[in-house]
This record gives sequence, C-alpha cells and structure tokens, in this order.
Amino acid sequence: MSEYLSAPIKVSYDVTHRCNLQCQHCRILNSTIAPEELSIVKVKQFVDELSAMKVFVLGISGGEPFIRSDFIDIIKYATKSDVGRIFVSTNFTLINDDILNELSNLKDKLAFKVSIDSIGVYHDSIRGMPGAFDRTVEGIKLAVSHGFRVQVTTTLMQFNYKDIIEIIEFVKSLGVKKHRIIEIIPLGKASFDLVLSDESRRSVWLMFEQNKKRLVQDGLDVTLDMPFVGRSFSEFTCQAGRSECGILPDGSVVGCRLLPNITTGNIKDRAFREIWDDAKSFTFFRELTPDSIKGNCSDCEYGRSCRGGCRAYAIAVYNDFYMPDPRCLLV
Amino acid sequence: MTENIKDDQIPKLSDDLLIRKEDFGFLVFNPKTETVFQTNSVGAEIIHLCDGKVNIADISMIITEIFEVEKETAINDVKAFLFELIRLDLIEYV
Repeated sequence: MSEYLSAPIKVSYDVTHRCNLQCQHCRILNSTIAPEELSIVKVKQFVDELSAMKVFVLGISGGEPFIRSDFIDIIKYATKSDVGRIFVSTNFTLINDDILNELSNLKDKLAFKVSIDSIGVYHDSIRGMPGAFDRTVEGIKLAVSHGFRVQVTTTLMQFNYKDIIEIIEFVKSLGVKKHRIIEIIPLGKASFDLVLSDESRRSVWLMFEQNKKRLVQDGLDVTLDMPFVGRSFSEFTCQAGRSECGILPDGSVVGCRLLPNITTGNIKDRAFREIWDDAKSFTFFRELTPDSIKGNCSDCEYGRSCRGGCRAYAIAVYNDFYMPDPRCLLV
Repeated sequence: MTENIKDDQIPKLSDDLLIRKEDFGFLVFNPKTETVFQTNSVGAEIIHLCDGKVNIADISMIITEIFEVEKETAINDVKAFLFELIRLDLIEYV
C-alpha cells in the first residue's frame, strides 16, 4: 500500500466546539470560547468534495453539534450526498421528537454516536451537568424507538473502570446494538489523575474477556479498544493522514483531532482534494516510520504497522511526537 | 468450502457498495456492515467482472488470460475470492 490512500476512508469534522456540557475529559480545552465556524455554504462545498473523492464515512462531531442552528440542514445535505455513511456524535441532551421526525427518512444512512461513561450521578459529575445522564438516556431511547442506529461509547478512567461490566449491561438494556469502550487520553481538559494505571488496564481487559461471551448474546456488538494489552499488540495502527483525517470548526485540516495544533492547511483557503493530494501535507504522520520513533520500535515485529503507537498519547505524556506510546509494554 | 460453488453461477455485486480504485487494487465499502474490504489487482479485476452477466467459468478464463496463470489455479482462486465476498455480503449469485 502506498503511504496514503487516494482519498480518506473516513473524515471527522467538528462543526463547532461550543458545547452545553463541561466534560472533565473533553479533548477540547475550552468549549466556552467558540472558534470561527465554517458557513453552511462552505460546509456544503466541502461535503461535495468528499462525495467526489468517494470518501466512505463522514463523522460529524463537536462540541455539541446540535448547538449550531443550521445543523439539521448540514445533516440533511451530508446524508443526501454520495458519502457512504454519516455518523453524528452528540450528547443527545438537545434531541427531541421533532428533530428525529425530521431526520427519520435519512436513517438508512445516518447513525448517532453518544457517550455514557457511568451510570446516574457519576455520569453527571463527569459531564459537569446535573441531569445530563437522564437526558442522554431519554435521547437514546427516543432515537432507538425511531429506528435510528445508535452507538454508545464509554471512556474508561481511573474511577469508572471497575464498573465496565455494569455499564455494558446498562447500555445493552437500552436496545443499543453497538458499544465501543475506549480509554482516556490525557489531552485537552483530561488530567493525568483520570488516566488508567497499567494495573487498571490489565484488570479491565481481564474483566472484559471473562464476560464477553455473555455480553455479546442478544446481538450486542461490544468492543474494547485498548491497545498493548492482552493479544492486541498487533492490532494498533494509526491512520492519521493516511486513510483518515479531521477538520476543525474553522476549516483547519488535521491528521488527528486529538492534536489540533498539527494542522496542514485550511479548506477555506484550498480545496480539500488539493490538501489531501499534496505530498507535503500531513508530513508528521505520513513520514512516520518505526525508525523515526525514539527507542526500540524499529526492532519490534509490530513496528511497521504500529509505528510507535498513538502520537497523541506520546505528546500527552512526553510532549514529544517521536516518543513511543507509553502504554506499550515492549518499549 | 468452495466445492459448493458451481462454475456456471453468476456473481453480482450487492447494491449500495462504494468502490474506489487505489494503486494496489480496490477498496470496497459495504454501508450495511460499515466495513472496508481491500483487494489486490487480481481481486479488483474479479470484482469488476461481478456485474451479474458473467459466470464463474468465464471470469476464471479472463483472469487466466490477463494474469497468465494456470486455468486450474485461476478457477480455484476465483472461487476462494468469491467465497470471501459472499461471506462479507459483497456479492450475491443471480
């Protein structure tokens, strides 16, 4: 495979960084200061480009995207484009029957992603808003009852990881078919005291493996994305700038939205196609090899696919793009 | 597995697939399963021929000619590839 594809498989676009919640672990440092946002005219041009490039998946996120007054129009335009799938990440606190009715004829192509990090008031304390849990759960139930596909994501932190099985069972009870478990990365608002210890990570993996067979009964597709634990050494691969990229609210193009300072142009100034095709774009990510990572990644049998693991995690811990992922047990 | 696949069966790509040409072959996105399948150049040619008009014997013959492989090898490889496409819900037999 060449260093990067002719077009991304997936583009993740933050339509806004404004948000009605104040999540402790948000990758966005300050959601009260709203950066400039692309006009709907520009967003539509961008979606047209993604269609022409045959991008398969567009993930639309925030902030809370439903805060934008023109967001319904953006969803409708994107969903009617030739992009294969549209995912909207929302906290569901602003969703209601009227919105879902308006979108109901798009549900073959449109799906929602929503986070549940704990149950009840613990979720509220993470989200920084009393009642957030109830509103999110009501939103999920409403979307499921309208026939939308909903994927729940749970971010594991040092204080909620022991509840992982209980959380999965709760998510399953909501009629959700897909549940993805990820772990916190200490960037943005997320502080290091929330980060899982090595022991906690092993413990989570064991709990998950011991219960997985029972949990996937009745059709729940549940995955634990926890690299470098158990069997998953060979599974990590960073696709930033190679088959995926992100767009920030102001149109900045980034390899990874966790690293918003490593930009590679802006779609207000240049066509997205031109930015993607430019050999000088995404150089940090595209030119990364096991040899450029400090340490022994170049000798590692997984080095070529892993390329040092998550660059965001390396920057979070070492403030150095070229350090190996500190979670790896082989470095 | 592939012994149940008959030479006169005619494969056809499933509806709604998105297919993109890359240097190495094709990328095929199945919106139903939200998965991406990657082929090499031989796989790309087979997918190109899954138009609901050409049967497996003829697909194998074309592959034999284009890639200069033994007929027996081609038919086994084509059947194995189509078996994988069926498993991934990317084709059906018409």
